[in-house]
Amino acid sequence: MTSEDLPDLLLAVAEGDRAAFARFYQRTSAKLFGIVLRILPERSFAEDAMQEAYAKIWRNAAGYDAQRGSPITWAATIARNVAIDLRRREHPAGRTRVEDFDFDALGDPSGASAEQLAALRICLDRLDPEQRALILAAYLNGESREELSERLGHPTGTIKSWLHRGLARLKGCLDG
Amino acid sequence: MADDIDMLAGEYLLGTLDPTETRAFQRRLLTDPAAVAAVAMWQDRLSPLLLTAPEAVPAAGLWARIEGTGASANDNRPLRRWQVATAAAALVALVSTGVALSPRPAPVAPVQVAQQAPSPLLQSVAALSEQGSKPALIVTYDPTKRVMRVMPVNVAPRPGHSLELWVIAGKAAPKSIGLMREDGATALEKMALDMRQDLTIAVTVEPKGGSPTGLATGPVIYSGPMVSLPTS
Repeated sequence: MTSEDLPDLLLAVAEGDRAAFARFYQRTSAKLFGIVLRILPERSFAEDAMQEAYAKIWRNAAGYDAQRGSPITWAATIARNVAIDLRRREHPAGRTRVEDFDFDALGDPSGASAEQLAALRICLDRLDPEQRALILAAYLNGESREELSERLGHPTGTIKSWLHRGLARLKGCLDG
Repeated sequence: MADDIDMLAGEYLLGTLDPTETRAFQRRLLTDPAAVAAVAMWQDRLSPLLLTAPEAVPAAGLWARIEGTGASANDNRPLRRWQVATAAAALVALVSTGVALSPRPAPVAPVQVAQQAPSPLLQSVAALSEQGSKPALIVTYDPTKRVMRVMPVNVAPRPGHSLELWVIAGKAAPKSIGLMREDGATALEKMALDMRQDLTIAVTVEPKGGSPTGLATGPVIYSGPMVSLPTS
């Protein structure tokens, strides 16, 4: 294992360096798989999403902009988007999660800026518990408005207004 | 108003808009830089959370799948996705007919138009411009050969960025059709476009190499409807 920086690896990937792409995969796949599995708990779907996500990473490496975040965050966003698209497309009978999201059980946030994450955590903690749970279930688990509505037994209109209130408070807290 | 777009952009990023709202917002993203910026802001605010996912090592065979079937089997350098077009002839034909840019030729005109446009390539055309200004790009599409040609006429250079082409069919979400070459005319082969639908072609400014997300992330600088010409 080399100590190459991810930005350098990604730069090499953008130039079409397949060995660099293999190393980028080694360095990032466990994190990305963790992200994808939360959205697609079924491993075969999750692996399909991973394949598509890394194809995108390969194709779009030249579009990575270092000023918009770390390579791992960039790749994580791509993986999330692909997984959510797949979840919406395939609708794999959304193994609904009954448990609420436990913010204290978050794993090691390697790669994220510590301050950013701390600020986000403080601001999420200030939300009403149901607003926080909705935002996290949608963002991290990929639950749609309909799924949230069914699981929680509230009309979609209620879910929407809770989400709006949560987002507005989150924005005010993070930007303010 | 600013709050509305922030809430919409936030919901879009969370993925809690319904399919109709999602498509409508995706179309808006093509023409509204403020909406694009609002989505990017939410992405920046929330993306650190993604990295809190516990790691999970995928099966050993996954890398072989990625390496073998998909990703790196193809060259990823954007410029090579396009072949150099010998589009000069087509451009000359287009300019000499002069009629190509008027929307939907009147039903009586076809015979004449067909005579004036001897090139069978020119079956569908779009002139892309900034709102209200003269054409910056001419796009032609030959449905029989499934080739799209893109000819810059008056395109301002965007150093450090790529110009990405999108097609919007009816009310569907915009679909990326590729990047423009920096040095001129571009041909895109094996393009399947359904000409029975209303098609709009748009160009956005994206990071080098194209949109990282598959959705337009930059402002639309040119757009125009695809107009079908009568075929001989």
